[in-house]
Amino acid sequence: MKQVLYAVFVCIARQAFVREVALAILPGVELITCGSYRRGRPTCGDVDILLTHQNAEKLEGLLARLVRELEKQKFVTDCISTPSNGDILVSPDTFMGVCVLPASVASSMSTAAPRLHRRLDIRVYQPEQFAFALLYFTGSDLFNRSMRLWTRKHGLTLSDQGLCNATHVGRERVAKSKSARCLTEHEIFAALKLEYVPPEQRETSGAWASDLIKDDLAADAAASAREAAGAAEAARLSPTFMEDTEPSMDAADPS
Amino acid sequence: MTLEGSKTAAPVVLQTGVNLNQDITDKLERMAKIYQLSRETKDAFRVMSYQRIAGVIKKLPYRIKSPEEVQQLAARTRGIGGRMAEHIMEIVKTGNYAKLDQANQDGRNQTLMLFTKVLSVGASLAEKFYRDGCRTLEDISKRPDLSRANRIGLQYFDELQQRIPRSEVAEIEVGYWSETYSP
Repeated sequence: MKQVLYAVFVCIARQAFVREVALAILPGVELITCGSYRRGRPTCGDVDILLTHQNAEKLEGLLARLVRELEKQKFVTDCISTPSNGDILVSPDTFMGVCVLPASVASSMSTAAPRLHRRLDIRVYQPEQFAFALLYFTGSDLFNRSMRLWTRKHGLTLSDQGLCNATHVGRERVAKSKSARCLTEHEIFAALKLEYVPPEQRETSGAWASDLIKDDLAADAAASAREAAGAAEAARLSPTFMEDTEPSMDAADPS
Repeated sequence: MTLEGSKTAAPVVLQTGVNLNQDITDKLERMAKIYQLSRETKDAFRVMSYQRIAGVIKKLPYRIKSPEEVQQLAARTRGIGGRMAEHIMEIVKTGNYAKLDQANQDGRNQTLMLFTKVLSVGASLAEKFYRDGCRTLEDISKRPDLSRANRIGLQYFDELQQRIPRSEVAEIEVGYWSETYSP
């Protein structure tokens, strides 16, 4: 009896998405997916990707090209808000839309799992704003709120674009300085004299928040928060503010 | 073609804190969601206090078992007043929260809750839809004043309600290897 060998050619193909497409358009681009994904949650509500590049000038037109390319691949299916047309760099430049991955060909060969449409946001920030954007879009809302409150108590204002000295008359802000220079999240926490909190511990408000339970087991955290508060009071928060650049610093409230 | 991208994907991080009072915090957060449907200022404050209390309880290293513990908690925590303590006590004692059940059964709340699930529909727009007599998503979809985001939200309504597994988020960011068979 003759054995017939049926050859099945398996071709393994690389499906490139946001990262590789962005890298192809602009080598050296930095990309981080924020939101609950960065906080280590098992599931996420949407996908929120931040982009930047060491050389701010190269960011011009990046988002428009990226979105066009992703549309061509039928990955981005709908645009809710489209990026700036690329003539000038608007920072932050934001794309909001809907994406869908191609049906995955499962190893079982037969069942191609259907893919669902997902909400996708891609934002491009100037390199000096990137750490602030990263902090802001990593959340959680509750954590951000506690951090902004802390900042405001010390006469500063924190947004997705910077940490500024603010002068208030009553509840109204009347003047604002240039942003403090922080290139990493660590530097933002340090400028605020707060201990760094890793993303996966940002589900609720920070340990410095006044609603903290003064419990036996939480006593350490409370003590260190008080210490930090004391130190901050003694030293007055005095981050170094940048002198060049003229970014618009309007704080957007989280949705 | 390299796998470089996948190396940079954020690792799966196990949650360090486990919420030992999830049944309680779920109810409090749900109540916050319902108050979010309201446009009254006093309800906005309620949203904040429910959310904050839920955040505090989430971080507790023990399970709340007795009304006395709730009392202790209220005494030590800023922002838990007498009434909030009573609500939490009711949940601890009975496992139920009558006020929430009632709000959940309210037809208007149910409809507003459904509407706010549509992309870019907030409390005020949902209320406007309701006032104009809309009761179903189909009613909404006939409106001429929908934004682009609203229409997209309706088009993919069911899909967008689904949570995204983090493995899929990673695929969206860094891509993935797929196998194509021939023939």
